[in-house]
Amino acid sequence: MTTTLSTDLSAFLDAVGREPLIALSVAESLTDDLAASILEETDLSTTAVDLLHRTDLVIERNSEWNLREDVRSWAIAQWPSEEDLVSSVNTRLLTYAERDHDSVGADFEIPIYLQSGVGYAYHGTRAGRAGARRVYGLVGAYGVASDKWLAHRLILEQTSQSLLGEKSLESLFLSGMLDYQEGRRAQALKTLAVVARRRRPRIECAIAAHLVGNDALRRGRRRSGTVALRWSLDTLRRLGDDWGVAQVEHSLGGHLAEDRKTRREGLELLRSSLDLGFAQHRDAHVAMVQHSLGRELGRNPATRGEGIALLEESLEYKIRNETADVAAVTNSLATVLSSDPKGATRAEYLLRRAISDSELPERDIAILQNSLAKLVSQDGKRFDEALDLFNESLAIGERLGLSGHTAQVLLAIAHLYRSVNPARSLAYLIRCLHVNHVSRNWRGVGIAEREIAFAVKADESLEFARATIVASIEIWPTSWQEQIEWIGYSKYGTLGGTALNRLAKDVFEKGEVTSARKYLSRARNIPGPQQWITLNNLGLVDWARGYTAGARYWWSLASNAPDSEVSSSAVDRLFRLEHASEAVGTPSLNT
Amino acid sequence: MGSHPGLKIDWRSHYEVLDAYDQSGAGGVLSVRAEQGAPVAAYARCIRHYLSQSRSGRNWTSVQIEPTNSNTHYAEDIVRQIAKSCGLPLAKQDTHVIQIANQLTAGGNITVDNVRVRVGEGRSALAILQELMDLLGKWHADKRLCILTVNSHKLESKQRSDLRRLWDSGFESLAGLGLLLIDVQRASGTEGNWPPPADRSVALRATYDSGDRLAAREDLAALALETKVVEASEGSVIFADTILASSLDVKEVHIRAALALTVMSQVTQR
Repeated sequence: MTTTLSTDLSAFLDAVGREPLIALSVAESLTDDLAASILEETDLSTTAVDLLHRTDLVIERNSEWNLREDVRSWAIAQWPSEEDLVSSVNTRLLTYAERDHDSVGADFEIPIYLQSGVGYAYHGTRAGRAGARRVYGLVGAYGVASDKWLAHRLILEQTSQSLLGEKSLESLFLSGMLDYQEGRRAQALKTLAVVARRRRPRIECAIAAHLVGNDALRRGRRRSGTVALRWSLDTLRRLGDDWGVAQVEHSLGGHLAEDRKTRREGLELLRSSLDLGFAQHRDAHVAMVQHSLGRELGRNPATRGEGIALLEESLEYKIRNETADVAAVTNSLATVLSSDPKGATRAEYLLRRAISDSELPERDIAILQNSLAKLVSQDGKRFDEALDLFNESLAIGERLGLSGHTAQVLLAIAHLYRSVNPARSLAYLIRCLHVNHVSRNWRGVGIAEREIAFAVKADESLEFARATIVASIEIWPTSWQEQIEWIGYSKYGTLGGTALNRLAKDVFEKGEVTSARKYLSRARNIPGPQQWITLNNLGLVDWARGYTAGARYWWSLASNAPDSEVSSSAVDRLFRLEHASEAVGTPSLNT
Repeated sequence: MGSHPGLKIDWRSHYEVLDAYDQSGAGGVLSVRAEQGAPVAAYARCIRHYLSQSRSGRNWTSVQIEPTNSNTHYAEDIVRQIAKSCGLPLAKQDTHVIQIANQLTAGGNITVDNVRVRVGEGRSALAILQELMDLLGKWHADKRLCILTVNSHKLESKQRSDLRRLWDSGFESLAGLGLLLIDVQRASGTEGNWPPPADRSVALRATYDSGDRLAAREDLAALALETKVVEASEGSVIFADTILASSLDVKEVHIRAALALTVMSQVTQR
């Protein structure tokens, strides 16, 4: 393919020749010092540097610069015909990338990429240096975001030059890590899963297994997640990558500590991770592990004191460094403190102090309000205060679409109402179940279902079901029909049947007879004390749509109801139907 | 690296706009819409240099952001670069180079030794921005900041959103205090959230119209005299006419002028 050269590139090539541009294009970024050094090395005139800065052929990068994109692309395309020149410059650049910056000399500026590992990977791979490709993996695993981005760009360039295979471990890993850091999690995990599955004793595979394992745990796949994390940990230990080991120990330890059977191992891993963090002066990691370990130790009265001390240290670091998770650590510390009545006052103080921080994101405020509300609700005299806090927290959660948080608050409100107003408590539990269901949080679904089953069994009366439906309509002020329909199609006998009758009544009053019939047909199959009301309602609907045979049938069945009020109503309607069809009574459904 | 002046050829109407921002002390957003083939890199270099030679005696710092530069790819790096260029040290040094691989077995029988990798603790861009804003707020009154986004039509959409977030979350509030944003992008560039609404818009042409050509002729002649590649004004006009006659577009004028000035100054020195 012939590419038309820009006018200025053509003019430069005619006047100066192509070697200076080809030599300079070997570097990803340049400084004047480095450019002069490259040109001296190749016996080319350093005048070219000053000349280039007077043209449009180079673009500034603040303290660095580079050839314009199309100019560098042209020069790279010439590399195969200038292998000696390219190799010579590349070797020189590799030398800079290997040297400690201080040893180069204070007056000699070299570009950042030659000091960050990326330059070593790039020029070392071109030079065929053993281990250079692996540094791409190290940058992908531990480098700063901009270095990952650059390394990915350069590895694509070298892949197109067949220096690496398209499906090389380094290339796939960097691609996955870039997607991961830029928030394309699904795509990232798909790519990283491919890397992890290769199960080679390489940092890339181990880090990929770490991230894939964590994701599996988040999705509730405990077994596959644990297996991946254990393999990652073993591999990193064998490779001598203490920093990687510290991170996986944190993930795996935190997970194992949650389960009674593996708690001891989990705590040991967390302690080991903490020690490694101290040894490597990784302050942020130390604070993170202190949080996890402190939270776990705080659950056990025997180790509560140690847990509190760790959480306090973690919180101090987070506040000092204004990290994003100050609220999370405050929350953990307050939770541990409030598990002992003596600590409740301090816990409340910490939570209120954090909530009053005007710069805190709303999401964090919502979480802290929920914790504070739980704490306050322990004092029966502060019911209203707790309820207000819960409602504020709930409103933020719903507005921000935080389904997990919303479900937690709903559960907490249900607990608050449990002894005061069981029907309202059940309504909140059902709403919590609904939120978990919609967000596919199956663990949350399980918890809510267990509590609902308990509440429904405790009182199977029609009155209780009616009160629950009324409460549900109150706490679902918008689109309550949709929510009640959801209850109706649930498996909660009397409650479900009552909900469907309530819906039928609503749509019947709006003249939507067919919809009413649909709800009642569904309710017809639900056993319970409400089924007789359903039969009576079916009769009314059929009568309203002129199907007297149907009405007769349903009322005949309803006349057998054990509840005399229902049965006499059915008998009365049957009688009227046979003798004065226009006077069966007011066509209003019951619930 | 010292500031490279580039060649000051034409763009007079652009310099007039910059003078207005410079002398009034007001900041804002200047949108430069470049025709395809316009010399964007040379233009950016020239206007940065022009601002550094402020007519009102103000001390300008300019920071350039462009799509191929990894050091200004992410929002947090942009903020760090601005702090670095302004000479404002951020209190928390959260990026450092470490020797990550001393005798680290990189897999198989390969050992990676003595390799340095830049690591960071990952402070959010907005947290760093807050710190920078505090520092900029206390900057000397005679100092001005220019943020220059070049070829922004080639930025990834996330980069454009990040830039807009930085602008909305902080830099916009400094526009009233003199911060100038200059965005240079293709005239048929992307419609989107970058740049923010501009108070001025100018075109950067790939070829000269008759008026620009006249100005370029004058500037080229002045350059020839200034650099002493010719001694008489007659020679300088011939110099200018030769460059213009042999060039198809503005880019070519710059390279031919640069080549001629370099070669002729070497001959003159001998």
